[in-house]
Amino acid sequence: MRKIGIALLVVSAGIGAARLLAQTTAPLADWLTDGGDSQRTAWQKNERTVNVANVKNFKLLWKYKTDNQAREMHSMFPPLIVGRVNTPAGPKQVAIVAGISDNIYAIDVATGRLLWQHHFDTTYFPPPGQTPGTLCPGGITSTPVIGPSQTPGTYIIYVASWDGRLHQMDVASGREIGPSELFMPPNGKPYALNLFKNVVYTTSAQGCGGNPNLVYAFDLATRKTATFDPGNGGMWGRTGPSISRGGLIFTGTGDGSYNPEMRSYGTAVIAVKQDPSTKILKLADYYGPPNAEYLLKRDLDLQVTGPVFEWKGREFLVQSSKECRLWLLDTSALGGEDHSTAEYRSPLICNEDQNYQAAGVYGAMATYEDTAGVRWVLVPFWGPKHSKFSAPIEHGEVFNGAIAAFKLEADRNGKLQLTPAWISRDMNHADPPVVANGVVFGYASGEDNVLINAPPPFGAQPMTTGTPGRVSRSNHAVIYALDGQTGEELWSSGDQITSWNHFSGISVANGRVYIGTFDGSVYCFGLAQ
Amino acid sequence: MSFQLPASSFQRRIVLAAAMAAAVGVGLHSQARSAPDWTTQGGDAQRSSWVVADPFISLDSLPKFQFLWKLKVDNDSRQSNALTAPVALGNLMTFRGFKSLVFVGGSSNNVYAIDYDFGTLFWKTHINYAAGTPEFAGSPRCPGGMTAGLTRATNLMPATGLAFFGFARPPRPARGEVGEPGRGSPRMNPTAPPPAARGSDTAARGATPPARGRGVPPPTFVFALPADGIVRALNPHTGDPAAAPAMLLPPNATTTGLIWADNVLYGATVNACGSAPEAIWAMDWDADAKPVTSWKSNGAPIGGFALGTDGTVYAATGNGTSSSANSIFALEPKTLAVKSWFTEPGAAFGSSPVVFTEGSRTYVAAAAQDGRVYLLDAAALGGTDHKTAIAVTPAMANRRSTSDALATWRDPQGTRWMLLPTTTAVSAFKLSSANNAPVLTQEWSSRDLTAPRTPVIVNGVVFALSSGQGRGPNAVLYALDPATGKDLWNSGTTITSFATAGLSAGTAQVYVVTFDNTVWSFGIPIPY
Repeated sequence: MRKIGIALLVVSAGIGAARLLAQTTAPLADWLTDGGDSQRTAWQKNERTVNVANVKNFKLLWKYKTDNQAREMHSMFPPLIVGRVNTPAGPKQVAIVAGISDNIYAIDVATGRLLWQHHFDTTYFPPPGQTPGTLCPGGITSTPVIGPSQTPGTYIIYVASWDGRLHQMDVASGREIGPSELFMPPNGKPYALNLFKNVVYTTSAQGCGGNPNLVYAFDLATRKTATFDPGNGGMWGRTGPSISRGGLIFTGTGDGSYNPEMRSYGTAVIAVKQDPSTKILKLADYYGPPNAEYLLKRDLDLQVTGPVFEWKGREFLVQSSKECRLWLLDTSALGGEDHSTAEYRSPLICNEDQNYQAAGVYGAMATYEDTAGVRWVLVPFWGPKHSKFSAPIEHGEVFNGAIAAFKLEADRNGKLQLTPAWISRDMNHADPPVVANGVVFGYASGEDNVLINAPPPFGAQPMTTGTPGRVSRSNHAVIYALDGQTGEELWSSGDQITSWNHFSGISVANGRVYIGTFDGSVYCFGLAQ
Repeated sequence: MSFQLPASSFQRRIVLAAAMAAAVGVGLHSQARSAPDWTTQGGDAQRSSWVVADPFISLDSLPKFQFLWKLKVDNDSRQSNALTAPVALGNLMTFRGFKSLVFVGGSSNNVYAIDYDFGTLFWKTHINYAAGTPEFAGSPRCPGGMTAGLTRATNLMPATGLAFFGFARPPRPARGEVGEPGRGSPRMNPTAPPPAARGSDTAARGATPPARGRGVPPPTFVFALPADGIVRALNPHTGDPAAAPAMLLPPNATTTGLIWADNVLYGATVNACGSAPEAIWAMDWDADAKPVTSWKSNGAPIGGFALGTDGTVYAATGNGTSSSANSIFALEPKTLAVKSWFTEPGAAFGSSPVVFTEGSRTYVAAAAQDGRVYLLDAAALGGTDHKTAIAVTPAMANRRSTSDALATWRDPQGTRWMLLPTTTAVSAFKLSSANNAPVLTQEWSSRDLTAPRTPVIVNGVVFALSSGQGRGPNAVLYALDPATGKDLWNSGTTITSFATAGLSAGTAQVYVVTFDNTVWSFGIPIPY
C-alpha cells in the first residue's frame, strides 16, 4: 500500500513538474504596446492562463505605489508587459509603466517590486507664466512602445519625453541606449507610440505648446522624422494610430474642416503611408462621414483609435467618434468611390443628446476572433445607451457607460453589418477593453469627465470646474471580467482599486491584468499561483 | 485631347469625388461656417432683415430648399398674438453639448429654446407676471402678454460675412514633410501662433466685429420682456434667470423692437396700452441700478425704431396732431436726447425705419402709410429746415404700407435695394444716382400676397411671407428672384395656420411662426 502511495506521489510530482516545465518553457505573452499590437486590436492572442472558467478566481496580486506626480488629470499610462526579459538576476516578466512626470518604472511582475526607475532630465523649461491645463498637461503624454532588440531576450523601450525627444532604453536595466533623439517639438501632446517596421509613429492633438497637430514618424534606421499635417483637426485616439499589415497608418482627425477639394481632412479618417525611399508621409486614402459638417459643429470628434483586422481575406478598420456610431471601412478603399460610403454605418449606440462631453465613444475599441471564427468588435462608450439601440443580451440599465459587443456578419446579399450581440452592465465611464482567451476585461475609469456643468441658479456659487473640480468629483476605477460571448460579469475588482485614471488603459498578459491610477499606483490582478 | 482616369484606385476616386463636388456644388465638404445670428427684430440693429451670407442658401441651391420641421409649443395665443419671430444662437457650448438654438417668445409669457438642427425643444420657461398692477386681459389693440420679440446682444456693426463655428478653422491643405537625419520634426520651431484654446462660451466667432465699449464680450443672455414690463435675462443654456429682473417700462404695454446693443436695452411702447405712453425706452444695462430713460412722442404713434452703427436711435412716428407726429427722430444713445429730426405732414411713418451705409454716407429710410419711401441723411435728418429728404418715391396708387418695416440689402453688383411690404405685395426699389443725387426707383412688385410681412433677404434670395392674417386660411412662404420678384419657390399648403409675426432666418433655414403656436422651418437639409 505504501509503495502504491509512493508511486502515485511520484507520478503526481512528475505531472506537476511536467506542467511546470511546460509553463516555464512555453513562450510567455507580451503586451508591448498600447492596444496590444500595431493594429490596436487590444486582443491578447497568446493568453494561456486565464479563461472564462477560472477568471472568477482573480484577486489582487500586488499594488505598487510609484513616486510619480500627476499633472492635471493624467498620471500613469497602461503598463506594458514583456513576458521574458534576460536580467542580471535571470529571466523576468517585467511591467514597464510610464508616469506623466517624465518617469519610467520597471516592475518585477512576479513580486510587484520595483526593478528600476528612470526620470528624464528635460531640456524643456516652460516660459514664465505658462500654466498647464486639463487638455495640455505637459510631461509624457504618450504610452511608450517596446520592441525586441537584435539580442534575444533583450528589449528596447521607446519613450517620447516632455521635451519631445525620443529615448531608447534597455528594459532589463533602464539604461538609455545612446543619446536621445530630436523627434517632436517640446510640450506637445502626442498619443501612444506605435512601432512598425523600425519606425515609431504617433499622432498629436490639442495644439499643446503652440505646436501643430501632426502624424509623426521617426525612422530608426535613418533618424529622419517625417510629419503629416491633415490640414485640420487634432488626432487624439487614445492608443495612437493603428497600422495595417501593409503599413497604412490610420487615425481619426478631430474637429476640423473636411474639405477634400482643398486637401483639408479634418473630421475624417485618414490613412497615410511612409514612402520607403524618401521617408515622407503621404496621404494614401481618407473617409469623410456624410455628416461631417454636423459632427464638426457639435464637436463630435473622430477621436477614437480604430482597430484593424482581417476577415475572410479582406482587411477592415472600425472607427467611431463621440457621435457614438460605428463605421466599418475596407482598408483598400476607405469610404468607397466617394470617400464617404462606409461598408457599414451603425445606428447611434449612445449619446442621444449628441453631447461633446461625457458621452460617446472615447479612447479605443477592441476586436477579436473567437474559437468559432466569429469576429467581434467591442465598443466602450460613456453615458446612457441610446433609447433606440438594443442588443439580444443586456445586463441592466446603462447610466454611465458600458461595453457594446458586435459580431461582424454578412447578410444574405453579402452586405456586411455589425450585429449587436450584448451590452455589458453599467460602468462608470467604460474605457478601452482588452480581450484574452474569450474573456473581455473592461474597466470603469471612475473619473469625472464633465468639462462644463449645468449653470447654477442666478446668484449661486458655480461648481468648481477644470481639473480641480473634476479631480475632486472622481471616484475609483473598477475592472470587470466579462464573458466574451454574453457579456455576463464573471469577476470585478470591486472597490479594491482606490483611485481612478484619466485617458489611460489596462493591459493583459499571462493571466494578469494591470492598471495604473491617478495616485501613482500600479495594480496587478490575476490568478494566485 | 481625351481625358483619362488615373490608374490607381485612390487617384481615380479623388478625381471622381472632385467631379461630383463640382457637379452638385455643395454637400461633399463641410462649410464649417455659420450665417450671422439673427438676434433681434429685423435681424440686426439697423433692422435690415438681411442675412448677408449663408453657407447653404443661395439662388443656386433653391432646388433643394424645402420644409424641414415644425414644432408646436404649448403657448396660448392672446387675441391675434401667438409667437414672436425666432432669434438665433447658432453655436452654444452647453453642458448638454453644442447646440444651435432659436428662441421664440410666446404671448402667454413663455420662452422656448429650440434645437434648430432637429426641431426639438431644448428648454421652455414660463415667466410669472410680477408687476403690482393686475395683468391685462387683452384686447385686439392691446393684446397683453408678451408682445415684444426676444432679443440677444446685438452688435451695432452689422455682420459682413460667414463665421467659422465652434472649433472650425479655415481649411489648409494637408502636407507631408520630412526632416534631416537627427534634426527631428521639420516643424521643431513652429512660428505659427498657437491654436486658439478649445472651449468657448460665445456665439460663432468672426461674424461681427467686437462689441463697442469696454472690450468685454456681450452677454449671451436671451432678453425677454413679458407683460409686466420687467426685463428677464435668461441663461441660454437652461432658460433660468441669469441676472436680476429689472423694470424697463410700464406693465401691460404693447412693445416692439426690443434690442440689447452697446450695453443698453431699448424698446418702444405703442398703441398706448396699459399705462404706457407712446415712447422709446432705454435701460443702462451696465449700471447696477439699471436706470431707465424714455423719449415720449407726445401722443404721436410710434412706428418703430432702428439703431445706427454709432448707437443713434432713429424713431419713426405716425399720423396725429402731436408736434412729434409724421416724423423721424434721431435720438442720442442711452439718454434719448433729440439730436435732429425730419417732419413731413401726412407722412404717417407706421413702421420701423432702416439704416444703411453706402460709401461714406449713412442713410435712414422709412415708409409712409401711402407707400412713399423716404430716404434721409442720417447725419442731418431733414437738413436745417427738418423737412428735406434726400429722395422720396411717389405714393402708391392702390396699396398702402403696413406696420411692417422695410428691408434693405445690397446685391452682388453693389446695388442697394429697398423692399417694402404693402397691403397686397412686396415692392422693390433700387437706389441709384442721377445728377449726383440719390434716386429711388421702383423695380418690381411681387405677386399678390395676403398681408405680407417684412421680407428677408438671405444670401441674395428674397423670402416673402404671405401671412394670411385676417384674410387667408394659411401662410405661404415664397422665395423670389431678387432682380425681378418672380416666384422661385413656395411652401404651398404646408403651413396650416396664419402667421402672427415676421420672418427670421438662421444658417440654412428660414422661420415662420403661426397663430396655432407652431414654429415652421424651411431650408436646405444638412446631413445629421
